[in-house]
Amino acid sequence: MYIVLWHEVKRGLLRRVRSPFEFITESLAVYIFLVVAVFAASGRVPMPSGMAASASASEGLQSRPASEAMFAFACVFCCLGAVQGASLLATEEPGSAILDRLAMSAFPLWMIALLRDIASIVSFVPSMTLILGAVSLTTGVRFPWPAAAALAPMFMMRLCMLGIGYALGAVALLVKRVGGLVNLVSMAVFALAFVPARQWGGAIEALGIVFPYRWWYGLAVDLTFGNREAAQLLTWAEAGPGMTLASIMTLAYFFAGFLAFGAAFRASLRRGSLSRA
Amino acid sequence: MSLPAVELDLASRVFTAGAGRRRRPVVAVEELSMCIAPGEVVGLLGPNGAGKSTVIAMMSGLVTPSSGRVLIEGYDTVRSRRQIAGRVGAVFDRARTLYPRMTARENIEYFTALMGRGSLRSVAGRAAHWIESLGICGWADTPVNSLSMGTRQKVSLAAALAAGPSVVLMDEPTLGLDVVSSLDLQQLIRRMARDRGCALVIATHQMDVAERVCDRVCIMSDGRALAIDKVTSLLAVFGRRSYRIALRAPVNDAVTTAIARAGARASAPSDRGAVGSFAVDIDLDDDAGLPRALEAIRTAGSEVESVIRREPCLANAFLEITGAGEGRRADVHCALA
Repeated sequence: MYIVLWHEVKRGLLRRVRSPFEFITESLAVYIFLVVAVFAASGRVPMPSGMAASASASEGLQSRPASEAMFAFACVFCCLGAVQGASLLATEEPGSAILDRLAMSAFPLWMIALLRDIASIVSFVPSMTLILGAVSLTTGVRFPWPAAAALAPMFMMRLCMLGIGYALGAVALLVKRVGGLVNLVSMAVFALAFVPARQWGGAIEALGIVFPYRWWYGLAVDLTFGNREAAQLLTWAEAGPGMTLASIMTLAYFFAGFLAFGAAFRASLRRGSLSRA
Repeated sequence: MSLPAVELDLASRVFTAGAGRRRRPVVAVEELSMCIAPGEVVGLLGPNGAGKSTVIAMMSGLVTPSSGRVLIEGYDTVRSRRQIAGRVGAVFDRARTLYPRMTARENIEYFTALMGRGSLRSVAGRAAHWIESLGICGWADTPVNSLSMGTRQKVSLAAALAAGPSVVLMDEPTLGLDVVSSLDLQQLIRRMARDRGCALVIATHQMDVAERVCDRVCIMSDGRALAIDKVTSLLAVFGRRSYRIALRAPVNDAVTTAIARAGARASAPSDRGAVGSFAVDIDLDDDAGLPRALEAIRTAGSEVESVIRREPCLANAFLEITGAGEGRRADVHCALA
């Protein structure tokens, strides 16, 4: 399995090297987005009119340190790969029979999606580090590297989003054209980053309930920024029940997505829709 | 007795076409039974929509049979997917099973690794071996999207073979290839069967390819197998004794009537535009009928300039079997002796 993982990492890196224009434009888009977000959070630029219309969004950005906003968006970018990975696997290289070949491999399709997700993290970390470095240089706001203890909630954050990614992949296996749905979910994840974790309410609260992401994100923020509550969260008596529920929800999301993906794969074989025959 | 490489046991596949009230079942493959031995090359022939690609998809485990079963070396393609992986290699049409931005070598290594065979070093070794065997060393480190169709097809084949499959499935392998690349690939197919003992199944429209490469062919129409037999047997049964007779004067009714009376079937040449009205094609039941036909032509007042024997070809047999031959001889391209 590690051989496939190695080849997936290599494939991901080669894709960037072979298509530098695509890589540069993608990175530039993330860079511009982060610079604007950091400036907005530090009140140095006026909010765009659409965003200003939403009081909670503008307040959200400006009611926390700029570095926290930067951290929030970095977390979202980290999770987008998990959301989009499985559906990209099911729809990559349109018109080709690559999915057919992947489906004939010794590894189940869900495992290939999982390995690709791990590979995407490997290639995400260095490129995101460079982008964050550039954003820090531009804005003068230092990126708060997550504390070692924050890695666990970040892992859970990505795991629950991977479940959603699998569910989207399941739809992609059956319907193929799911670009709009994937974009919708990605935008919903972005919406969560506009408001500090502790101030979620209204529509954002509803989104927070849909995505177990918010529990883990809140914990990662607390641990990284050293909030006093973080220490309390880490004592079992205070945080135990909440964390248990969050863990159950995260695993439920992951396995539900995973099972849906497997069921969709089998259904597509039965329907004959996986192959172009 | 060794297991067949591929076994189809009354395998059927019904798809659903349309939506809502217009949903209707479409039979793509109907109760197909066939055994393919190791080292055998079998061609699936048939018009568009005959079910060839569905048979390939069922053999590769990408489509579940609606009824019946498909076995690869004794393993059911539905129940034993993990055992099937690595035993079956596939080359789908126009080599679109490769990542276009990766090089030939990277593609071969990647797909070999996915078959779960061997270490990192052995995967690289297998890839290098097949790159050399298929003569694509010069293009090994070129991105696939810069390669010609023929080279891409070879890369696709190398990616399928590097995992050491015992069954290789090919859907229109020579489609879009130039003559040299097509002949190269055909030689390679024969070599795979002879030297490696691979069972190869080839779905194609190209009768000349099937005739040169296949040991047996399965002629399909509307999802049914109309004939499964050796190429030589089909040629013996359906290959007519055909001749093209060139006259010194245009062919007239008296000549065709005389030929018919002599017990032969006369028809206008398929390439009449090229040969003009001075030639006639005749089909005979046996070679003894030729002198009688020539005598009849002379009696009808025409003089024979030349007689050319037309070799029996698979295309004729195909048209006879599928029933598409009536009045369509003009579409058939037979090799002229």
